[in-house]
Amino acid sequence: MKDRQSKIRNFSIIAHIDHGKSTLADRLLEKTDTVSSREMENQILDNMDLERERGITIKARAVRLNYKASDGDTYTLNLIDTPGHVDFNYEVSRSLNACEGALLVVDATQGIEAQTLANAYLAIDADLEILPVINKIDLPSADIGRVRKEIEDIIGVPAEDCPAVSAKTGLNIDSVLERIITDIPAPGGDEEAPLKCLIFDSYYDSYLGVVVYIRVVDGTLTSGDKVKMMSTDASFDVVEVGTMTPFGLRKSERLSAGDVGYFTASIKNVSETRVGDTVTLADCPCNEPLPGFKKALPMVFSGIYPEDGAKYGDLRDALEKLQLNDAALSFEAETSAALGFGFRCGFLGLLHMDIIQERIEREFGLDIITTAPSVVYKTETKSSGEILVDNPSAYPQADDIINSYEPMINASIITPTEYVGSIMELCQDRRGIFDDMKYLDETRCELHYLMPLNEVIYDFFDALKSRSRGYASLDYEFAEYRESKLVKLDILLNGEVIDALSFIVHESKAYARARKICEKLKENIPRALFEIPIQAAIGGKIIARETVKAVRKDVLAKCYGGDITRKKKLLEKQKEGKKKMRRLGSVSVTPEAFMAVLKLDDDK
Amino acid sequence: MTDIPFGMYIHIPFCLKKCGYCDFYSVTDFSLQEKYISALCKHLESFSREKPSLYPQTVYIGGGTPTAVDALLLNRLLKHISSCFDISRVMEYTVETNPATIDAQKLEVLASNHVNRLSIGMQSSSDSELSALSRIHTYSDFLYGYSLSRKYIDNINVDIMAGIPGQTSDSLDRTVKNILSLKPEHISVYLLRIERETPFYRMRTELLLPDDDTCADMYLSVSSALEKSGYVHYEISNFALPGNEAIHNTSYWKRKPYVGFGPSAHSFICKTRYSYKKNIYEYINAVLSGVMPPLDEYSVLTEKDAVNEEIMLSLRLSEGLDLPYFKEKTGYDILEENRQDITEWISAGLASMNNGVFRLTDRGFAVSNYIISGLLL
Repeated sequence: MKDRQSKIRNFSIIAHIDHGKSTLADRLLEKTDTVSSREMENQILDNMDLERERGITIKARAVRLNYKASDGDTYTLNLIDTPGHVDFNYEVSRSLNACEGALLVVDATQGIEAQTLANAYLAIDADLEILPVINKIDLPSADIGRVRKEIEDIIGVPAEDCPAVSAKTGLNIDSVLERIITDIPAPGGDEEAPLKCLIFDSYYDSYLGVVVYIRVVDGTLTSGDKVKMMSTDASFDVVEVGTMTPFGLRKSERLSAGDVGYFTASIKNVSETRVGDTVTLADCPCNEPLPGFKKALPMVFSGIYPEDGAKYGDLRDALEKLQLNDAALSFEAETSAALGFGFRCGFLGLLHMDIIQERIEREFGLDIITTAPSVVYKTETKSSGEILVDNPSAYPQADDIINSYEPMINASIITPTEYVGSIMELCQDRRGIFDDMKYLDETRCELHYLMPLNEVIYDFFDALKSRSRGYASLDYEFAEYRESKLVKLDILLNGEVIDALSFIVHESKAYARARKICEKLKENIPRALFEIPIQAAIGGKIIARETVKAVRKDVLAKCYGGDITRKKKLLEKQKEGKKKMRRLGSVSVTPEAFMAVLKLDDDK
Repeated sequence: MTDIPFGMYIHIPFCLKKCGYCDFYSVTDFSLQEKYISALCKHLESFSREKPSLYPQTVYIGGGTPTAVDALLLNRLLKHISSCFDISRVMEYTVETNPATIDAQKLEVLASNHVNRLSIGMQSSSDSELSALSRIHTYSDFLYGYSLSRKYIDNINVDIMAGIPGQTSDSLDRTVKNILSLKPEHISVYLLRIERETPFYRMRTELLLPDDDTCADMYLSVSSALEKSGYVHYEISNFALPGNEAIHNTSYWKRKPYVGFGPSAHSFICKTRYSYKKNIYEYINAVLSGVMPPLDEYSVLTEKDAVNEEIMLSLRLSEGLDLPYFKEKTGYDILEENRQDITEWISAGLASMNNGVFRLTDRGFAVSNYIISGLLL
């Protein structure tokens, strides 16, 4: 092994949400003097505001640390942070492939959770050396012994002497750094071989173009090289190569096998630099790409509309800008009779959807209306064969459908045993098919269900949390498409179908959902001068109905004594209230009411 | 030269007891009454001196309870009004009264000082409803006061109320029947509204109020009963035997100039609306020391204000709004801008349109806020 490579360690930190991954990363940065504590803004690795608030990592990050170990040598540590959420499983697996080892952070008070396990399996799949780190030992309820045993029993990784730390107070952080040096293998790879790099992240910078984060597997990359993306054959001239510091990019001469770094090549869009793709030299390519490349496929779709129709152009700009940095986000224009012009957007999952919606509102200052999330259904039709439907309003007519299929997921739920009954009931209610149940120890067990994704995208996670007082954790992955009796439920206001409110639902749930949405609409539609019938229909058949009664009294009886101004103001205020309402067909609805209806999927 | 008519309003902010629903400004401390009347007289006198070109076409003394003040003080005030202003051109001279405060002496004072119209707050012929409203009078007090008043004053308005806690459609029908047997020249029908800063507002959840639909039914049934008996429903809440429409109040709805005196009194003159602060002490002190009483509101109307006021006030009247004329005057084409709504309202029987004049029907009056707010600029 080359001397240069022997002084490099590439590793990730993986953990369940809130187990302290980012805090540990901060401490590592501080300990290695990469960042002085004075410069330290908490959790420097998560540099999007939203990430900091939610305490999660949305995009992968990487940073280089220099550590003088107790053996007297100085090592280069490349820490690659990974997103910790199931929506981003693919990104996690690519980041892990850029490493030789992973710190598995486990909360000493909570033990192993669903994402701990999911991430640990990903790391094991990637052949990484796993170094468990037990965190939060400063908390009074910490139970280091139990957690060590859990790690060994459940994950099968020795944890007898693994570091037990408090990232919060900085206790035992040195031992983590030493163990990174001793336990995690140095990278291999041949500097002389044809270039082979793994893209594990990229982002768009308005000055540099796309900045591509890579792990060099073989060969050497320098500025001026002409590189090629193996999945697309697109080639680019490398402008700059370098490494990542907490304060930004630092140019260097070259990146060689075993290095983690970046390059820029005046690339305009991150869709050119897909995570997982292999970069090689255009003139002297490697034989075959690295395994495991997949194009990110959206699983969840929803319509996004500007609240103010005039802001359609602004919304398009916002989505385009977000897409520069997020190849997994897809969107195309769509029109709704009820909501006007907007976009059908595809997301990796619910969290991804939430984040995009929030970023549009926060970073671009746009008020938006989003329709209920939908999954991608497959239908076999008489008229046009098999079609994929991600928008309920495009769902084929019932008599045209031969068979319909919905996406199923493998859900894994870890919960304290006392909530098992209630959670099984919930899964049952959501049409889950029980697979198996394992006791992790005396107090906790892991449930496996095959579940329809459309039952999970609504409020399943919230329901799970509320039934387990927040203790249960969920992880899932796509399993397969299954034949299913699906129906399209239309909502009619005043006799008109409101396209934005249509949704696809399993036959067995149609009546209950129909009744609920009608009730919710009734609560939320302000009374108008006319009676407003609210109906839910499958095909042409009405299956639920409510009526919003007409306003019959709305009058200022006493208007004398000359106080005209106050009365005029009352009426002007009433007018303003009406202006804010959104017209759905012939019915006016407040925007809040509209959102309440779209988010009707609460369990309350 | 006195050639500009105006409506004169004088506020008498004294009540023996405050009613739970009422948000008009009043106090119960009668020790202030003499000073207050003095202040009013001074204020009226200085106004008449400063604005010699204005003459009152109507006088309206409201409250509070004007007839609750001492008869001699009342006499002093009325005499003073006659001495400051050219009273011969006053077409309508109204005093508000509570049935329990009427007596022959006070009626004598009113009649001998040119008062030609009385407005009596009857509210209901049910004593339990009267006590629910915390009124100080009973139905028999009203009957006595009414027949006594008749001996002195020819033109009488009676206020009744719908939507009283505990009121039913039947009890309201009885009130209406009772009042119709008296044939007053004018009847005002108010729907009880829970105003902020009233005792009713604080206890609103405990009040057994008829629901909105019942109130709407009450309003419609009273309207049709009165109309059947020959009363003209000329404004949302006002009914008159032909020729007895209230001139003073109509000036509010037709945006004619009026000037108010006393705390909380409102004025509208020269495109300006102002009102005095609701504080009798500050009012007395300011006037007696020769300065302007403190104001609550002072606003010079913009064109938009004027347009919105005109829409809002015209549609309160059965006369309605002449849309082509309005468009010519203001440039706002109400019909063009709201064609769909207006068509729907007409076909639903809430409004009508004749020769360009847009009017609300009784059912339209009941939801006039909804309709009017939809038409404002």
